[in-house]
Amino acid sequence: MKPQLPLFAVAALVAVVAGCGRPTSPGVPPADRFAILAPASASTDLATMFEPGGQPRWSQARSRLRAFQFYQQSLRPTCLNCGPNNVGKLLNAVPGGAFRYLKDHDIQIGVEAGAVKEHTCDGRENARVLTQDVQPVYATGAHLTFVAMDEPFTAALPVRGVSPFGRCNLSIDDTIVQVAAFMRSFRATYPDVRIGLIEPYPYFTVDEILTFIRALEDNEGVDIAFFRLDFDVRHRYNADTNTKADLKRLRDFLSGRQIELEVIVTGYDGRTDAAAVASAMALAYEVSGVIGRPHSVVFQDWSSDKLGLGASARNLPEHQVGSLTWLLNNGLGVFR
Amino acid sequence: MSWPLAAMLLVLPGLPALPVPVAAGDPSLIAQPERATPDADWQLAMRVAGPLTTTDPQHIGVAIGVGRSGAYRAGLRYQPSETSALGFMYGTFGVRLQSTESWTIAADVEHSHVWSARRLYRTGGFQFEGHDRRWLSLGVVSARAAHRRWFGLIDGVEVGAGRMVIRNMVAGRVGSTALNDEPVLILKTSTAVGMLGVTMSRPLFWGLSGDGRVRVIGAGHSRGGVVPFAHAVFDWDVSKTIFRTSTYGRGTLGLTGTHSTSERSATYYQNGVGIALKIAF
Repeated sequence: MKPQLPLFAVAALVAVVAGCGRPTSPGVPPADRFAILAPASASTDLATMFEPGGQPRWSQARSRLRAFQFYQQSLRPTCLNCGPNNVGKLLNAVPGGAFRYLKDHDIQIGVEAGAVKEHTCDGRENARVLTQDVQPVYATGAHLTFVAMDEPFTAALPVRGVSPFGRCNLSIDDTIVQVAAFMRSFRATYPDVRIGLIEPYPYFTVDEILTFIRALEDNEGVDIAFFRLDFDVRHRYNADTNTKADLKRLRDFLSGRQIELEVIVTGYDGRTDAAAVASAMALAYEVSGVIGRPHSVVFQDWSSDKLGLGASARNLPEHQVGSLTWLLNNGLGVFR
Repeated sequence: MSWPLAAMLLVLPGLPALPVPVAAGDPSLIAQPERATPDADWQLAMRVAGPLTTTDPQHIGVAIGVGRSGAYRAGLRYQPSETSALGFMYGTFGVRLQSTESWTIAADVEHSHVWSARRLYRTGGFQFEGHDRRWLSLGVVSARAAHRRWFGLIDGVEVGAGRMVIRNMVAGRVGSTALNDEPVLILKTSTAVGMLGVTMSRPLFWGLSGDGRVRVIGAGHSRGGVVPFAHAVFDWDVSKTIFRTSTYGRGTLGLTGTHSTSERSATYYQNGVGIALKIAF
């Protein structure tokens, strides 16, 4: 007589097997959900967004989200430039934690992380740190869908013009090796997480961006899941570029390689207060007029991180002009 | 310009309410009176036009203009916008280089200046506005036939070269509250441009006559790449003589329009249509 497994054991086994092979997305979001919200790591109300009192204050924006992106440093127990935020605040904001909350609402979770940074030019080391940083996400039963590499070529190559930030001063070849090392190392632990590249334009020409991607994919054999364009509309006139032609060329190139195109929408200086709304909307309007709707639109604020302005960035409430959720609600319409 | 003022200009005796073309360069401002009314020295015009498309400033514009023909010729046109007293200005000055029974060849310099505001995007209570600044300066050589029309329509050609400057600014508004102290500059660029155009005229039915001009303006390159490359502008007038006296000269009333293939052309409306009253004396 064959031994029979109890029903609950079979169910548990099925759950475990399904869990091992599950895709990194918590389900396929509807096609009209193409927004990614990326609050500043030092924003005053990041944890409030997940607290019971804060949840109703961005319900409309939340219903439109494909993904919610955290900055890597927000996931640490202590963070010097994260204002009031740390991973403990996120985990305690709501029963089960913020990550579980997002998963339960079918919102993907992403992290913007350094693959090559001015302070750490070693891709493997950055991957090791990120692997540790994202553990709290998995510990709550949620999981990462994507990692967006925070402009590694900008940090690695010698600076152009004047910049307050240092550089690794690597060659292009060495940069590509480091970026590929980051991707391979992180994927060794999290093979299903999609990894994409962020780079600025027109700081880099489209030709240079295409070269970076070709080199990574063709020479190093690492796949780029998405390319996120950090388009500075202000500096178009300082760079001898044809924006319309460039954006179309980039879109076609990425489409040919099945790489998703994402676009960052933010104010001039990375802020999203009311005065910066015009420049953020200009960016959205310009991009949508040239290439239509990209695969994803990232509403982002990094003012407190890079400019050291403290906890000035606000995400809530969504009816307040200039809050990040307000920008998302009003900016998305440009792309429809 | 307010409606009462516009009406006053229309009715004041001896103050010709003017005709000047809606777009840069009025095809009838200088050239037409030379041929149609050889004895006319001055032309005055008033145009009241409105937008046809969403890419236009969404208000009625009233333009006044004055022109003088002769061996030396000049024209001016002025139209305020909703947000600026300097909404649209156009000036031209030229000289007849050669005038025969068959042809008039002339050289002109022109300058168009557009400061317009238009709604780019609106959602809920939020409105996103574009505040455009455009300048176009051209040197133009034209040849116009006195008695011939090719294809029954074309009576002249013109070529020109110059420079176009674009400054695009944007601002946000929620209800009546402006979010920006002043519009935010997002683009400034300029480039050398070339121009090729034809002028047209034709008698129509019921005593109407038509005039028009098509210009193609192109450039090969500009920083930022957004100066329109090879955009076309079509200005037209269909008018009828409403009086002709030895005291007040000749007056015409009719329809006028401007159409451009680019919202960044140096015209106030990309697509605008209105009425025009012109007096030549």
